[in-house]
Amino acid sequence: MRAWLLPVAMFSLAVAGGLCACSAPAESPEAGGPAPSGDAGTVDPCADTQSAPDAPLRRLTRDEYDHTVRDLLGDTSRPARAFPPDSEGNGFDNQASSQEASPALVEAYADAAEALAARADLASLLPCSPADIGPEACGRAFIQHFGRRAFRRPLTADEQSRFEALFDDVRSAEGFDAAARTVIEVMLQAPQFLYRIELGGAPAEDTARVRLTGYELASRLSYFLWSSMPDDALLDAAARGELDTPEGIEAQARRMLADDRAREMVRRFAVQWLGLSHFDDVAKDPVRYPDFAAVKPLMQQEAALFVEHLSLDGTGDASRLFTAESTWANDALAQYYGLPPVSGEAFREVSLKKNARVGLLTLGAVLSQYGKFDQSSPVLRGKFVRERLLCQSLPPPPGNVVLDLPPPSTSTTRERYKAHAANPACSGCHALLEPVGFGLEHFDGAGRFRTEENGYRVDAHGEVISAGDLDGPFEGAGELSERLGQSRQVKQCLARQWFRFAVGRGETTSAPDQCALKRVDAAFAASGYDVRELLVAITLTDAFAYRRAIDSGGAP
Amino acid sequence: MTPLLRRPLSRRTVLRGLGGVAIALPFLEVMQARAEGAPPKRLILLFSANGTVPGAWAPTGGETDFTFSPILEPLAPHRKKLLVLGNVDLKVAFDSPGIAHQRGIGTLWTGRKLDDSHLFGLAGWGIGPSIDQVVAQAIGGATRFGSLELGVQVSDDTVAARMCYAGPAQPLPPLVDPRAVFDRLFGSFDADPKVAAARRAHRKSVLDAVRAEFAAISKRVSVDDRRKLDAHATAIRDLEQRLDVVFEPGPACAKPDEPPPLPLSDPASFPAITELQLDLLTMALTCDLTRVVSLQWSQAASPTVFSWLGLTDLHHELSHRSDSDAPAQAALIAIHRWYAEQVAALLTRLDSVQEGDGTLLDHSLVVWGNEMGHGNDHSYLSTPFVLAGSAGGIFKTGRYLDRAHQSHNDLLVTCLNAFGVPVNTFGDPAYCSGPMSGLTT
Repeated sequence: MRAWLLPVAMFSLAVAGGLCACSAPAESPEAGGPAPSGDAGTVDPCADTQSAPDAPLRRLTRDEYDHTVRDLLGDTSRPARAFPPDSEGNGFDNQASSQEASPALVEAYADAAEALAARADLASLLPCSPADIGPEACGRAFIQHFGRRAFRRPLTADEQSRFEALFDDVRSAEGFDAAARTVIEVMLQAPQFLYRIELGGAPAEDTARVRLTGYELASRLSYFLWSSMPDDALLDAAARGELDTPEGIEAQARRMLADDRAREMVRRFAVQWLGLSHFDDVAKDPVRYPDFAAVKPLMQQEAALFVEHLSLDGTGDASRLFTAESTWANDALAQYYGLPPVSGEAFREVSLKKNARVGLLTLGAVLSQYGKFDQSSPVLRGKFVRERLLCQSLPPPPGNVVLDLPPPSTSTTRERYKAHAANPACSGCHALLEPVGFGLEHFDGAGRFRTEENGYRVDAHGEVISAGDLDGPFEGAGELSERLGQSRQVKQCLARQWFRFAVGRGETTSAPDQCALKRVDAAFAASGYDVRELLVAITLTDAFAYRRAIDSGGAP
Repeated sequence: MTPLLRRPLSRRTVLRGLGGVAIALPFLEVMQARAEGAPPKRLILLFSANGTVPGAWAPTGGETDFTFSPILEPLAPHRKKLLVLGNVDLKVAFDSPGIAHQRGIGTLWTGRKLDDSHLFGLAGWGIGPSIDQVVAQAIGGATRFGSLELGVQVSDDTVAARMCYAGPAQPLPPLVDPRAVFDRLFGSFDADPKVAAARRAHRKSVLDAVRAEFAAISKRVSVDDRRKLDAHATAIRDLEQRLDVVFEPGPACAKPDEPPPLPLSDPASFPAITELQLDLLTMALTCDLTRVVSLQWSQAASPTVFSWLGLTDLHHELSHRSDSDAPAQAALIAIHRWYAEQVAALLTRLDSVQEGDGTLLDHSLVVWGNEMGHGNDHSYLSTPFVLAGSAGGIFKTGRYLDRAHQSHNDLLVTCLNAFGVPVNTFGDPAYCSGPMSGLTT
């Protein structure tokens, strides 16, 4: 395979002069930062129509497992909550390189499959009645019908005959229902169910790439846009060959984005993108922030709903993720924020006009996640902006990090953090962090608005450096959010985060990935940065529809 | 290859057997063989985070007449069964990719640098296996579970929160909910033997069929994907074989009470979760459900707030205060001393279980480690290691040894040798010079 080794420098911190401690930032070959668009290199990555990215095997995450058994069996008990946790990679729970199955997980699969099969509603799953057409014929029809949904493609002849043999064995000893339940129990542990097997079709001549089959693309679409299995309409579209063309994929992607399952998926993305997966575990000083524990779960909901509505409703304009003057809250959360009263426990859109809050930077969950136990944290907040919103990667702190900041009750946060700027070992990198985080100082460590800290007036001026179109001084969360909303880099980073989430791996410098991102960036920009168009554009890339032809290494 | 496993024998069956109900002769032979043999060896790995306070950790005095430090003083009642190791360095961590805490936890039990795949900023996963998994391969084949990975409030799913690895980039997530652990270990503990036997037979036939599907798919995928699928299929086969394991509880084996539901994310639950996990861990070993366990308190760069000690700062932040910050150092000493109390409580539990001519503790090797030696400079020098138990008379305990900055890889080699794993080097050989001298009898 040919690889384009493009200079990945567009957002590299290395190009910024005068940053001693940050003079050798890690520029990761994978998922390190937005790689340059086509205009940065002399070779058009899209000129290569021969190669395709590797498509590492993906296993269902816990969420995907739960959603899949919901859609397959009608079981809403969320059995995967008892599984060992999914390990993370690139900030997401669905990355192929972090999906090794542990023995504890394998046993949990066995337990869950047994329980799910035992309580499955056979009447709703059988396409026939054994009394009408005979148990043998109905068993075969069931295997074919259920198997197509469980494996997300028609069974092969070999598979059909293996399951028929299993069915017949159990039926002769224990009867029809036991046989059907055993088929379910086995299928729920089979690799065709637990993994996304993508073998692709026949390779075109002289290329190292193969297009995924229609059924494989159906699963790519459904696990990306729904975090679940394809529905019948999608499987039928695959069967009719409709997913063999970009037009067919686009039509399905648009249909799926209008479904409630896409809303749930965006909420799931939001929580992970914003680094809130373990927000439940965030602890705050109960003396300083006595009300935080009660609103903590509400804040996480708010963040998920905020991103969901702004991404999928109205204009879908990504810049509004940063500049929206409304959020989603219920009575308790609105009260916590000091917003006009909302009645009831249900979340609703709440206007933030004439309020210091604006966009996702001022979500309570973001401010608290990136705050400390008993104070705010300009460092963590700056790091959040750099890593999650700008896709920059920062070098590690130097070895000798003695943090003797004065206690939080004595002065302002800005005063206390002066030590970093004064110490040459720290100042290089911290010049990238605090001046960004200082802009959010009107919000305390638990996300509440403040004008004073320890009796001193809050000063929320800040400055961004080494970040291209974001550079320059600013005043407070409003101006920083405004600038993030206008930034092209921020949109490109968002596109990369979505790409990682969609394909289950970090982007590489290979031509297929660079071509995909170039086209995604262009389509996103052309749509006025409509997030829905971004998601559709990802499904239309060759990186989504093709894989490198499998070299099975001389398998038997 | 898993060794040939014996046929199932539930505790109830054993008791019936002893009560005179006719049971098949081979079962009795197995029981007899076990009664005459030495009790099995066990490995227990413990992890607590953020380094220590070196001046308050290291004992003073000589090898056998040492005086306990403020941090380790709670372990004094177990003095005769301890081996405290001073000045052992995580040398390999200095050269690993990743940020400081990631490197420490990822190299602690593997002895290898993290991979450089950038899944977590500067690094990827650890390159396992970790020693517990190597030991489980060697001695874990005869029990219901090859190994057991437990945690207390592990609030992260990245490389900073994984210490056990089955192999390269194959982290084993710890189980953090005592109720889930209870279900896994004791869920079918007292099931009716007939029902249990029928369920076993059913599951075996199901798993057989599942393996046939893996075999069919595996040969069609790429080499990398096949490794993943084959590992999964091996785990299925292992599970299937373990269904047949003879369950031979010692006299102290009893089903524990089901743990109460706890607010798992509430920082104040940390001690209660610890106690439940230690109870379950002890009973799992007592019942010989497994011989290899680990317990990970929080994760590298632990953010635990030790509110029950009257502290209000995150552990990690405290660990970055300067050595001259007296209140911070006092708080850190209190934290590490609390951990020593928990380790002591575990040792007390293990030492109260009589086995043969000794106790469960005598037949175990407990290794309590950390991801670094000193928090505020992220130093891997003098990483605190406390060993307890002698793994059946192999370690010469009752001592404090200054290991003069030997590499911890050497310690890992000695641990493996104690379980019959005949290696001279473990992890990255560049950081290993053979077994650590002076530890064994």
